[in-house]
Amino acid sequence: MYIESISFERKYFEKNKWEIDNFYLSKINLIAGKNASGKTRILNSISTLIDFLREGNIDSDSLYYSWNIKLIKNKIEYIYDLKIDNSIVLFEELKIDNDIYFSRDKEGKGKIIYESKKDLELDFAIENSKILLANKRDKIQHLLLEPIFNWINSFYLFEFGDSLGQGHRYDIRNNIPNNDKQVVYKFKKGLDKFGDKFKNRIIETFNGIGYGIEDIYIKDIVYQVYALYIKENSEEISQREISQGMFRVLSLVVQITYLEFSSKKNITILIDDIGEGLDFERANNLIKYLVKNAKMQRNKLQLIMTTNDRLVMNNVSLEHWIIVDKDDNGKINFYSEKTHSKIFKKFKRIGLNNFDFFSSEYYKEN
Amino acid sequence: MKRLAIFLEGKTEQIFIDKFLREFISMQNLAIETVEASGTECPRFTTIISSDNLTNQTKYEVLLFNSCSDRRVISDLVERYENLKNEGYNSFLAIRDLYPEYTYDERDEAKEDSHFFIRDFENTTIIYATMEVETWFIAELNHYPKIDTRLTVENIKNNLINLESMDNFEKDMVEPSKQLNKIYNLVDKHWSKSEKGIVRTVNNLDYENLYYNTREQMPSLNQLITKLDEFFID
Repeated sequence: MYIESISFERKYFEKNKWEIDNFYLSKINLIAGKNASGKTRILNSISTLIDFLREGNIDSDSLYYSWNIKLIKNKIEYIYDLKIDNSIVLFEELKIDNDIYFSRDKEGKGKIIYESKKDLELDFAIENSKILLANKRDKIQHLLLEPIFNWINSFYLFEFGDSLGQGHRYDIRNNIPNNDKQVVYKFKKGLDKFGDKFKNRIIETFNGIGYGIEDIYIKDIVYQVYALYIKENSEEISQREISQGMFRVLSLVVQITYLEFSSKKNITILIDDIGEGLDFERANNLIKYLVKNAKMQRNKLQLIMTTNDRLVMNNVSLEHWIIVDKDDNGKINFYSEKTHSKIFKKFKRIGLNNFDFFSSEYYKEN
Repeated sequence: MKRLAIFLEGKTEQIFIDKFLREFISMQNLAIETVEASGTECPRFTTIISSDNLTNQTKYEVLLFNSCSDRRVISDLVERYENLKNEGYNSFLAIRDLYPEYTYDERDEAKEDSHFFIRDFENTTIIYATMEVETWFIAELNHYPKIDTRLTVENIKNNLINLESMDNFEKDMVEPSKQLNKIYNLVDKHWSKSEKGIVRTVNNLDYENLYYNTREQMPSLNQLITKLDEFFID
């Protein structure tokens, strides 16, 4: 399952809102935009929806959120609408191939298809702070919803400009939140499940990006608290001592390798500020690795990255680009080969760097 | 001192322009620095290939920037324009082939497309050496017998193509590099892109003929020479 398009609206105060309208995605995406153009907000609009769906309840004091997301699974189209305001679900609806599967109002009342009895619709009334979709997992009554749950559970946001878990150890006694900081946990789990094959793949990939480690392992530093270590030039380096850029790459490689090894079928990977803080060669190699990986796993992986970095832009083919541009009225516009094929084709013939397409704003030309 | 930067897509253009300038501008007044870029992606690494000494008599300094890629010429110009301008460069040229991205009939479109990227630059021109720079060499008829005495215009006419009756070299030479090779093949020689092969042809060209006659049949060459004249003629 992958996201084909998303529309999103969020009101902060009565008159202050941020919205995207029909943002189209492909299997591999590089969202390029200037600072404050809305790249990160786009990722957050998706990850916030996922958070709500994982949680199942609305406990946000935000004024207003609205999503319309189109997901595709084996050519079946799922369109999901969710509107919430002040801890209440105002509206929620799911259409599968244009047929309404469920729909509810702000009282929490509505109708839902009961799959095992053909054409049967059931009335329901749910608490108005609960999200219906999140509370209807049932493999007998609602088998058609299963791909959505698999998609929700295989969704990962990596904030590459952040530490990616460098300060986090794995404490066996604590609950593990499903976020990009759990690198030690993922490494241990991968090692327990897949053995040395898993470890060796990490070392091979990581060194292929431009590093030179001999080993990677975990140590029980305090009782049942684990930390990650690498060996480089025969010297042991703890995760805290690894340089920031190196750790970000290591963390990403460990977590993506874990996903690769696991049998998950619908992986969505969002990487904010890809390549941030890396030198040219490593940024280049990291991008190549990610794009190659995404191409190889085209049927099960959707990759969505953001950047404003020239090197990254020059290393990702224009076919994967979505340029985000905020106009003078604050409206967010998108430019991709899907939406503006003529100007993309025209630019490719001129023979320039991809970055020139972005920096010159040629994409706005008619 | 006046400074001109010329961005080129390969060795052929680099060697030809170097020779062309040295034919017409007095050695004392001219200093050429040739730089080659490498690496297909950013950042580009540049190597100074040769550099003439600057003296009190140097009136013109020319930077020949070989992008070593047809896809990089305009980008290299765009990336370096500000810095070069700040260093005192006051004129900029980029020479590109139409081939293989555009056809001859699309030459105006090519110019218009690329002009967008230099629209705010001063004294900057992109010249499309339709279809490839070898078109200029093909049209310079005096050089053939110097390559080989048997390679007369008559011989070429009888066995391959009548160069003297060409109406429009730029249009009719769809793949000039291959055409030049076919002509040389008539006497068992080859047009090769090796430095040795390029130097042989470039050294045998008749520059006066290029300057006074060949340019009349060749709008792209004429544009180049006109731009160079504007720069060098005080």
